[in-house]
Amino acid sequence: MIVIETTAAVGPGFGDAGHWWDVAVPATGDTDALAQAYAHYLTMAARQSLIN
Amino acid sequence: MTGQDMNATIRLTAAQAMVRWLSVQRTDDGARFIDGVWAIFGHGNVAGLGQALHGIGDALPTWRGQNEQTMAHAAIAFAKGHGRRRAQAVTASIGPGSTNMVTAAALAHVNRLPVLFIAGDVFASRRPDPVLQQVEGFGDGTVSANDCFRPVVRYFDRITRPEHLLTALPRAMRVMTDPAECGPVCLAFCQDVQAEAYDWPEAFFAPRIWHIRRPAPDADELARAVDLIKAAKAPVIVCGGGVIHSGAEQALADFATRHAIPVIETQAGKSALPQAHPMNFGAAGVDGSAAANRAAAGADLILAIGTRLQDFTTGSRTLFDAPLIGINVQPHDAAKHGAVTLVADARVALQALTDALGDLRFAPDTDPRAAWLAAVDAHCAAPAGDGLPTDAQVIGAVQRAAPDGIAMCAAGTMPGALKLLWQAAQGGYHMEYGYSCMGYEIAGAMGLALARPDRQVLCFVGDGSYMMANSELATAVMRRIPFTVILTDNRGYGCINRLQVGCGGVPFNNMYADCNVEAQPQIDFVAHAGSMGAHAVKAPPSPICRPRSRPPAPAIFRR
Ligand SMILES: Cc1ncc(C[n+]2csc(CCOP(=O)(O)OP(=O)(O)O)c2C)c(N)n1
Ligand SMILES: [Mg+2]
Repeated sequence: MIVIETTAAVGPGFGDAGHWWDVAVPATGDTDALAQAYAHYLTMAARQSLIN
Repeated sequence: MTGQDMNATIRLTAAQAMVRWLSVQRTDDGARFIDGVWAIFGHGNVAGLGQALHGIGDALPTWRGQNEQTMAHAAIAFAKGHGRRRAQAVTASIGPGSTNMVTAAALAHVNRLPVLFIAGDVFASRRPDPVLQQVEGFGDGTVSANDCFRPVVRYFDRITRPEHLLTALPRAMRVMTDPAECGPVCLAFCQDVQAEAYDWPEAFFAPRIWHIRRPAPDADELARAVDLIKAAKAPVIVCGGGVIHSGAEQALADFATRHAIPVIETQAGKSALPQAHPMNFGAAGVDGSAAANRAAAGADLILAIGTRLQDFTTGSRTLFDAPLIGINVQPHDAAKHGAVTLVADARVALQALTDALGDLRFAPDTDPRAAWLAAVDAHCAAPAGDGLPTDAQVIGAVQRAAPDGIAMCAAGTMPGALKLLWQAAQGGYHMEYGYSCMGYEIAGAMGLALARPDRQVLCFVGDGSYMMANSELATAVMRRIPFTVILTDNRGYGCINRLQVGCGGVPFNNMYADCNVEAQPQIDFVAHAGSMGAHAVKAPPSPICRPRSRPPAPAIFRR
């Protein structure tokens, strides 16, 4: 077993890699960061194809 | 057999009959389908099943692990490592032992993997009610703790009479060897019934071969799919785990090459094609490569082969802007996203499609693939400066040291990182990402190493997952099952912390630094693994990330 300390600051994605993931963001709260995240959430959710 | 032989009987307890029957159920190539039984005994299985397992000996070996859930993880990884063509059983006592297995049952259910749970159950006679660990329903006399299995297995049965095994066992095998319905089975085995004698037909124990069928496509469905492909300009293939379960890796490689169709990968489908295959554009979706997602977004037809179309594959349904053909042995999956269905075995379907398509060739732009692979190499290169390495740099170091190994994992940062960045050799990837269950990794590595002794197993595990379940490391040491663990210690639940912040939250209760604790932990993982007999080393901050000429120490045990 090899134990290695790593940084938790950065995820694996970079450049154009990756894509949106639907994780429900609270519709109301205290911070600007949350308000921005919620706005982005609504934008992306509107693009979902719900056809089955 | 003569008429007289047909009527011959043999007197055995129900538990003896169960293990005897299981020991003669064979695969096409003559191996036992149920390789053996992981067991932790308690009053619910020690007397009946315990005696039977001891008696059958090497004809159906028994192994003791440390925890019922993680024993089941090992069993499930074994089945996945065998492409569902073999499996293992796990037995536990009444109550906590059995409910410990419920999470693993769900894991197998989501991932469509076979495993046989033999869960000890309360007395069928009800004589000593309530027996130790019995869950008592006030309004339902038939309930036991094992009812928790019902929603998370493909077949559930409660054995309340010995002769129930005459139907339950063949049904269990049928489900585990049915490509469309494949999944976990729970036989809840009442403890008094295990010990009861019965006169079994001898013919019941005749060896039997379970052939895994390959359904061929319906002619109309095939014709519709062929027409759609012929009319397309830029089709893309999504390669799911069903390709591997079908043994269709070479068929897919040939199909993609012949028709020049880019292939993008799901977690379960990754490494069906090696990353080096010219049509392998890499991972799809949320943790997808730039080349794969670009191809997917620009596609005018998606051939979804053997995939559940989980949200990570589809970018939560925002990635594809094209109609789908669902090529799947399971109609439930084939019809998702309103797809045109082609219900069939993947290998048979690919052959039928290629027969109809002839020399049809598309002209995908392959420059983005080359650019992507170059970018991955740079992103995973050894770090230049000081500071802690990233997960990507750790992957790069392992990749350079053990390019032919099987990278395996289940939860945390690493599944997404590996799906994105691990450049798998053919068959060089094993990810439990249907249930993404923390604590699968160590036990899963053991099961995978049992299934694939020919390959180096590279178990990537975060500090969080390791802390959740690591004790099968001791089992692996005892059983001398070698694999390499790469433990990335970032002092907490790194991926969930980033998700929390990404969702507009504040860092809270994920990294130890953000938890309600009186003192920050200093967990010595090297000493911890060492105490179980594993050979463990701490990588100095940077050298691990430099290219190495030799693989990391393959043996986990201290000799
Ligand atoms: C059994 C279980 N509980 C909770 C989760 C949710 N979860 C997913 S990843 C994760 C944290 C993983 O931490 P670690 O293993 O240290 O990986 P890191 O992201 O820090 O590299 C959690 C809590 C899960 N997937 N499985
Ligand atoms: Mg961590």
